[in-house]
Amino acid sequence: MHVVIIGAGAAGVSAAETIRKHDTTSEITVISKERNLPLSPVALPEYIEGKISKKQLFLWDNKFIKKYHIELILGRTVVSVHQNEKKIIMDDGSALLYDKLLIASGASPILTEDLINRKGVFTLRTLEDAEAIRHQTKERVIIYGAGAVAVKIAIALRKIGIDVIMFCRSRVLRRLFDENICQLIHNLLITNGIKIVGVCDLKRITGDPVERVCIGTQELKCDGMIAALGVTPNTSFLNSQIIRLGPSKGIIVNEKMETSATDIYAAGDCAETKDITSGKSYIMALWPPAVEQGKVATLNMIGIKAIYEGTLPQNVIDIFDTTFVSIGSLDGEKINISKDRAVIRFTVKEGKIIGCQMVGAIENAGLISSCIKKGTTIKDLEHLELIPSGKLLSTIRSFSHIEKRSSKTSL
Amino acid sequence: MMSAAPQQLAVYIDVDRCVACYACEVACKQAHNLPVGPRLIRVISLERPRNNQVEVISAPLACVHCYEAPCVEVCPTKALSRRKEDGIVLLNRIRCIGCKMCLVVCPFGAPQVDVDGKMIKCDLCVDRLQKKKKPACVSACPVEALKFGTMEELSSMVREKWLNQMWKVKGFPQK
Repeated sequence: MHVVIIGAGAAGVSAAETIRKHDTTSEITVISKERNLPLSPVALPEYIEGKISKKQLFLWDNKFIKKYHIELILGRTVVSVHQNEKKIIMDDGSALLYDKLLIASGASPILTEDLINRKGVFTLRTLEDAEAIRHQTKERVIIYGAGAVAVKIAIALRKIGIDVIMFCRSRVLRRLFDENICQLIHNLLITNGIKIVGVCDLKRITGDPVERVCIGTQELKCDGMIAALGVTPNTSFLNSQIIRLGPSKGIIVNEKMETSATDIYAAGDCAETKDITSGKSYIMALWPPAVEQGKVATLNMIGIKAIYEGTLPQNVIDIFDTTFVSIGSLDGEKINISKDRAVIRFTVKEGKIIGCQMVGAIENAGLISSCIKKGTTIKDLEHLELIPSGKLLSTIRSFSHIEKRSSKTSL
Repeated sequence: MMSAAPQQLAVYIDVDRCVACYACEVACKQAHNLPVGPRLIRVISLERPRNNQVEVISAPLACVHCYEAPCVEVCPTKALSRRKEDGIVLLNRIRCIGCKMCLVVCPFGAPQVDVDGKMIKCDLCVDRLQKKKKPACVSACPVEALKFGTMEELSSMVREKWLNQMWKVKGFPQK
């Protein structure tokens, strides 16, 4: 059997490794857009900061590829997939036949119109991007966006002494945390020297490469601008009549990670996955689900039954010396437990825990994640000592009291 | 084909014996030279009402060295790996970037954050094993609540324990 994997990100790498674990004879071809060996984009902020060397970024080395007989095609993109002939065409015109195909083409950073094709505008997704940021930002840099990637880059650059100004459309990490925890993060960033500017007109960027940016009445000189506005799936090379795409242009897959075309699977950031806390499907550009999906897809390819039940979004962010964790959904009633500087806040819907935000005390993140996956109710956790204060019991008791009165969020 | 490690090593926790003396925690801290903060093994005590009294169970919990370890699968820098010969899940601290994803996916909360922000986890005292010693927590346990061995050894030990208990039960076939 010849398995072709488009993309060498988290999903692609885990897929190739999964096949090799179970099947030593199948041919595996991995096609990567990047010219370097597969690497871990999660570690790129650490690379920019200089905390780790380039070598540490790579997931595979040449020895590994040789040992496991993986054919790795670098620097090539796939331009079309022909389902009937079981063939893919690459950008140099060469064709490749497959028996099973995994699309793990990932996603690309979103750029607004005025930022496209402008020099000095960076994104962070590949090694080239990281190198560019590392070498071309000297004194001041503007970061557009305030999601997890934006915050991680901001902290990395601040730690190496670069003046960082963040443009934020509403508030920092708004999708991951409640407003008052966002405020905590906001304050933490500001006290550590990152400047945050709220909603403002960003169309006034001058120079190509970017030289100056206007903030209100002030004009600021900068070395460049980093856009971190989220990602859009790389699915433009697919025929959407054969492989069905969702509203966000992500590939629609079933629980076996199969697409609407036979023998074609999809995994990772290019596929839409179901959020188990809300039941909605969307593009979730996270590392852990991509690894899991790649694994499930290939297991099904080689005939081992595996089911992907959906994703529980999990995010961990270190803001200087405090760790913040966000699991699941924010939408529901809240139960707050806090002691000293640690906060654990559950999101509860109809008695079930559907989300959790943690500040400082993160030891139980794994436990709570598995509780959410299993649909544990908040009362089941009554006796658990989450923060050594014994407060949980009384908090939950008071909550069940609140529940009866069906009052609003109690914080 | 990947197969289970031939000599999968494990620690068996006997909940009936543990008296929550915390000797294992202390021994672990000393063996790994750990500062305040990370607890690679942790004694957990639970209490629940039973017959108008309080029933307490305690057990020391460390990494269980899963066969399909979620932490190994999720690690974005391949810092975590499972040793083929004995199934010990080990952390390479040079590769670790401290992203804490392993902590979030571990259902037991076993990986810990060290003072330098990187992770640290139970390594079943690999350096002690080399010297043919048992892990520090097992050696320190005064009531033998912790037992160390290969899966095979532990499995027959558990069966023995079961038979011993059954022996006392009335109606169990007597000689």
